[in-house]
Amino acid sequence: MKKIAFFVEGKTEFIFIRHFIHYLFEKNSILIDNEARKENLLIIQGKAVTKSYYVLIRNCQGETQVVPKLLDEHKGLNNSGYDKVILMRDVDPLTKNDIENLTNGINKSIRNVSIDTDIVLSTMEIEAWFLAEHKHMTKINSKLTPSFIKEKRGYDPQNHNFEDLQKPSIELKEIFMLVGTGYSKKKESINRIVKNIDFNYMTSHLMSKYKSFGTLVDSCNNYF
Amino acid sequence: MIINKYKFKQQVPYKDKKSTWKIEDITFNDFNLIVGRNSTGKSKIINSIESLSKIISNRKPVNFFDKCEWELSLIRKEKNIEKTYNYLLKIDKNTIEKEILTINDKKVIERSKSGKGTILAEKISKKETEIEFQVPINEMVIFVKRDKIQHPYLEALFEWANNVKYYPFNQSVGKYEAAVFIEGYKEPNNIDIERSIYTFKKGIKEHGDNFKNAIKEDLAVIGYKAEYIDTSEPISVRMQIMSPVGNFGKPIFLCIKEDDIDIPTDQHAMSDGMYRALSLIIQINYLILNNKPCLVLIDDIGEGLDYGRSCSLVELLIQKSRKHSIQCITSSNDRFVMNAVPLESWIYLKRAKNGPKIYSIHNSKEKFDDFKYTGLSNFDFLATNFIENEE
Repeated sequence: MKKIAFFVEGKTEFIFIRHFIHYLFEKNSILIDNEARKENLLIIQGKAVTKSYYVLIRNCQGETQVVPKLLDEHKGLNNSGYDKVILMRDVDPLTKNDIENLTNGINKSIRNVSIDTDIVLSTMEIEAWFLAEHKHMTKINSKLTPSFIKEKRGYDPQNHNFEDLQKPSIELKEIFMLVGTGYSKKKESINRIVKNIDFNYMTSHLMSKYKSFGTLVDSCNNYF
Repeated sequence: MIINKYKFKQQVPYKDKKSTWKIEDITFNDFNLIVGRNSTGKSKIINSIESLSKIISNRKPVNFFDKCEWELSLIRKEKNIEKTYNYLLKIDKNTIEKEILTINDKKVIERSKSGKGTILAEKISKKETEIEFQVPINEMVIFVKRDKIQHPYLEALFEWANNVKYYPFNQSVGKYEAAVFIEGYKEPNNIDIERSIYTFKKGIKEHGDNFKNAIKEDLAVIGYKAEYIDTSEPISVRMQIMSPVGNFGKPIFLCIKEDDIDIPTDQHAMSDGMYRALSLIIQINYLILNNKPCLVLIDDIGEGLDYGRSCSLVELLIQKSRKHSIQCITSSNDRFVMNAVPLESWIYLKRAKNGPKIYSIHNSKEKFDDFKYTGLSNFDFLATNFIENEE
């Protein structure tokens, strides 16, 4: 049994990783055996031909809680047989200039964690990935084509760099406001977007441009 | 004698309505930690057990309660033979509506609302005989009928109830009260938790340095390094007794001389956490040295102590409850305390209409086992509401 734990910043990451795991399981012919949803905790168990998987996703409810949570739990996780941890948080409210220091700081904090741990820092928020994927927008509202967005927002989402935005979540909200729906960090709003994300497109087109997403995909591809 | 199973029901009238609050079937261990979010009933459970013990031992009058019903199962080991005492008590204001005691499923007391009933006598014509009685409607049979020859089984129940200690750890009960020992004072039958200084003096009188050393050792386990523990006149405050009659003794406090402090610290100057821990340790060690089996109820254990000390205190109590005849039922909201107590000892409350739903390893083993597999700390069992699946 292979056990992997995701410690994520918040609801958005929590929902996104759940759907991403479903995508990876399907891609790797891993059948979902059991999925148990608790409050801020999700356990997905899967079976492939020769291996079984236990995936734990913990919503730490705050970017400053992700590292402390791992530090609280790592001994128990180690004793329980986990062999991989992925920490995921936004860079925001820090700035792009802080990324190197933040990475070094986290690495220093977790230096005694004996489980192999990867750090995914969405730059500047995970919503940058949603903006870059953009295909979900026309699925939600057919008006939200790249040309419509270019006309209204002044950039082409197909080749814009959303990592330059401090608050991509605000930009995402502005785009959906163009068609009267908006975006919030509430479960229904997040689900509406994540359910329509084209993971094939994301994994084939965004990995090199969005390095943090690339780190996530590489870590998972190496694991499953 | 330990509590094995417990049920409680209370009805509170309000205008033309009635509110019911009940606990269905809790199974207890030697050491128990009641956890749950705010207002799930943690303190209420502890208070209801304390109330029952006071009624049984005649320390609280029956008319204190509106409509209440307790059902208690106690296990007693007597010369390696286990006996189960099942006790049902139903009260409505000043009337005892029902009182039934069975031992190993054999009914020994049954009494109705009128006060009439039957009780098993052991030595009438040298054999067991069921005899009729009528007691006042507001008097407990198990207290009124105490008789070591005819009803010796009542003594065990009375002793258990009389030895139940209630300790609200979120209060510094007695911290600011000095004691004055007057020559010829009469020792009370039951030692109240508030009288830690009294228990301390009694313990020294009965057990000398063994008692002091036991307290000192336990304080060291939780991180308080004491050179000695004693009583002294107030050090941190000036006190004066205003008495119209005679000359009382001097007021005294408990005090600890810590390694790294030049002078002793009296109880008035102690932190709340330190005083609460000291009081509890005094009481527990007195019970242990006197070999008195008892139930210790501690509400909000660890409150006022830093995280390291609260964990150490809990671990100390777990150890003592395993080694000695002390059963502990505690409650806490503290994540560090929760992480220090094995899930097997948890009683998890989930708020529901008319009283909490109770989950423990006894009735939800699969969920508790599933949680162990996550590798997460115990606190997350509560924080993620692990017992239930979300849609």
